[in-house]
Amino acid sequence: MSALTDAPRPLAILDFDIENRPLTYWVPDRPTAQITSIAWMWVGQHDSLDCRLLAPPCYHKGHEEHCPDWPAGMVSERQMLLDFAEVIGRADIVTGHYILRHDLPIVNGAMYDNALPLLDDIRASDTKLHMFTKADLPASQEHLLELLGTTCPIGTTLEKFHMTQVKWREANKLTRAGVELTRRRVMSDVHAHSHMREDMLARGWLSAPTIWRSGGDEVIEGRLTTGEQK
Amino acid sequence: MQQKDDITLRRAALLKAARSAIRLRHSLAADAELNEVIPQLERDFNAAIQRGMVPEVAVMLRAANALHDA
Repeated sequence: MSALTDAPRPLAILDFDIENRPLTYWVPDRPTAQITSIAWMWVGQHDSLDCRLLAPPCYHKGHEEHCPDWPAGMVSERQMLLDFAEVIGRADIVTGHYILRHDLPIVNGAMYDNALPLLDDIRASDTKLHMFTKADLPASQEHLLELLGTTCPIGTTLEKFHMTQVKWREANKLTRAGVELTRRRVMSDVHAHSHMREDMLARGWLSAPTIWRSGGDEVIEGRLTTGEQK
Repeated sequence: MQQKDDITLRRAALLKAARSAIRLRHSLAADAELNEVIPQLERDFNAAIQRGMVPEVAVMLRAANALHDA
């Protein structure tokens, strides 16, 4: 094996997104997060689009981790994390919008909260934080999709499914209708993001992926940025 | 150690200066070429990664004519 002569190697790029809800008051204006859904898709493979949705608690004995009444894709928090950990473990690169500071740290925190193994370090392509230098202009996914006029080459409708406060509250209560809203939101986000990223790459808008460190970069940063007391 | 006469010193100075001048000229030319080639190679490598492929280094070097005198 030689870095000079090794043959080209294909990379598995995983596009993913999470939705989360506030759970408890931790410090003022800083609620803790709980993941309510994770969706993912292997870049270039529409059929791989998949998601896991947080199930509401089932109080029947023995149904804590799995209830036969839960629809397909609805799982316990622990199972959702285990399923995603298995998928992300097969990825060479992950991509998403603001994943370096939102999705990846929140997933890692959820692993810690559930006493599961933390995520490994992974190379990440973030369509918000790896974008070219700019100022005083929005760069949300919704804005970028409209600006770029992104479409799906196989004709599947692209949307940034807009959620009002009423819809978010419904979704975060994990009602039957609410979970469907979450499913639509998280899956449409991943699908749209994968094509938006293609458009951004074609225009040379994204810098190289960087390695996200599961163990963090600065030991002190976590406490400083949360405002947590000593 | 024997002392060198001025002829020996001057001949050594001439050859040393010539070597240094030629090395400097090639070094400056190399800097100019590197300034052109390296950023483009880096851009091409990063683009390939973003597209989902780790490229073969030797192929990229040949394509950039980086090996032509090696």
